[in-house]
Amino acid sequence: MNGAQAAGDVWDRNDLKLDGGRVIDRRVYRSKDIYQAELAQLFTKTWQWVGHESEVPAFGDYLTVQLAGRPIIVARGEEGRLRAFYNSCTHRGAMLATAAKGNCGGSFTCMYHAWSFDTAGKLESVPKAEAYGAELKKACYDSPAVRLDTFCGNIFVNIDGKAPPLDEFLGASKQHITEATEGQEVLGRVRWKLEGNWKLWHDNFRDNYHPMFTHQVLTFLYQGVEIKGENHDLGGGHSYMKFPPQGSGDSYAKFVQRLTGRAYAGAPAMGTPDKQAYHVIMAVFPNLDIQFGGGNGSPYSSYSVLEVVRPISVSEAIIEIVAFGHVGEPEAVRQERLESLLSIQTSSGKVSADDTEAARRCTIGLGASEAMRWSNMGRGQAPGMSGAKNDEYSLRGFYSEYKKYMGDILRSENN
Amino acid sequence: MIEVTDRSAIEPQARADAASEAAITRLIQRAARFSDEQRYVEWMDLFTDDCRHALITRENHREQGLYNYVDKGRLALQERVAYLLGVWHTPRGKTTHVVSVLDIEPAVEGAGARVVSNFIIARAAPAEDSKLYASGQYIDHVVCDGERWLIKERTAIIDSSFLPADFADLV
Repeated sequence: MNGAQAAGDVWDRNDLKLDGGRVIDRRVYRSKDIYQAELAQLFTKTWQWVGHESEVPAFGDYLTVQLAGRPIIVARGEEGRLRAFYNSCTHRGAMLATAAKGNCGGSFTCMYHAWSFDTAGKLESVPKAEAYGAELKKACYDSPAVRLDTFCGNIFVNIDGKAPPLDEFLGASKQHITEATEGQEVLGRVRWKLEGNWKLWHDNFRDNYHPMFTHQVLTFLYQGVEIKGENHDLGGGHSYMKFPPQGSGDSYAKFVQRLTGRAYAGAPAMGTPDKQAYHVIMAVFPNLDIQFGGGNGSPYSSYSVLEVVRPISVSEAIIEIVAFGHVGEPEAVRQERLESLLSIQTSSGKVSADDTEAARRCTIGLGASEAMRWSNMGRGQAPGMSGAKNDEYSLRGFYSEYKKYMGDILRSENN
Repeated sequence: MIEVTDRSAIEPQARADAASEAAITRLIQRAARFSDEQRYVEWMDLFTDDCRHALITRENHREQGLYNYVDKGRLALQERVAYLLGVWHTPRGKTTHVVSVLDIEPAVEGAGARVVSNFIIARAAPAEDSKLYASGQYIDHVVCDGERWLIKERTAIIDSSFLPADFADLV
């Protein structure tokens, strides 16, 4: 079975009497030691999505990001090449750029003593350098490069520089990343706070057992959300779920009328499900999620949004959603996309707000008692890596990979 | 229909303007009050049938115009109200809007007026002290249906690009 652990693993000795691949030790959501190990073992050793090439098209364009507490700049050089380096002056450490993105004009000048660095992090100039005498060897003061690679326009960095090549790391997810983002450009980002452990958000993207209960707007709109679909563990910790929409009936109108006490006539403003449409929710290990789908067959009916969750403590994270649109799409299509693409997303959206609350409640509830150490992730009994939409193959796939990165710290009884 | 016009207009028109400005200001304040008191259906009734109600961060408003949401028409408002009344799971304390109308001018297109207001919203957390929930600006297009002023378009521009976790309430 996917996710099975070696005999003797502490996860196999769980109170739920399940194979260790089908349970989660709840301490992974609560332990500060495990969280610190995640920063060191997971976030520095994996490829992390930081942006899209459409956000930095010209010389001097840059993005900034904080990964595992480390400030990083991604900048485009004069020859068109993207590079990443630490957002820290090698003189006294001040950040070189503070905006989320911008154009540096070709160099970053530290606000403190005006040391200046080029778009590759190479030290260019030091004001009044003669006072350092001959001892100042400028080459020793370049900001160290951070490993960077791109796939289908998506920019990834790897802090420790030792992850497998990006193509290999992305593995079977590449086909779907291409489907989601090829020929597209970024329209903007929105960020919100998760009052919960970062993995709970990522788990949620691999869990399609919850929507019929959690998202009552969709339950009524889609007549129960008993949707048939697929749930695949793609290997390498990546996963993929695909499902069609259900037809809508009058339950949504009754739901709105009942709650507001007012007549509700006409088609739902949220939209009537398109019978030709499909939706995909995929997760890229360890903290990237992509939702995309297609519609009525018109060239611009497909949509894509990407979410990356970055922890700021064991019980808090920032979620950033990135909206995409087709390059060259008609103005009317673009405007509609800008107005509607995030309507159920973010903490102000009528679906993501539910997920945000679920993570908050879980984070508190998971600390209830040592006697409740294990969570069951065993839905789906067929052998292999694929099952029905509501099964948990993709969740088990994530934690199987997670354990490989986290190593011995998860085998300790005392975290 | 009463139009809000230049204050240098003749005296009777100036009086009409003053009355309209007062009515418009009451409309903006009433929308805030109904939201704070969770009188969402009454809040909805302050909008025209063909209304547009939108939320956007200042960062995205400055750039390509990516909205958090745009509710178009009364049905969409009713769906949002239904969500808030019945199925939003998040326990939340009362909000308090402080709204300051900055400017009322004739609408650039069509009848009515363009209103710019600043807002600050605090929220009492269920088990904590009050926190700043949002700050920003309303850009409203209001019209008079002959008897009362209504909001035809509202864009709420929120200052921060980081939203709180419990942000589904009316801004």
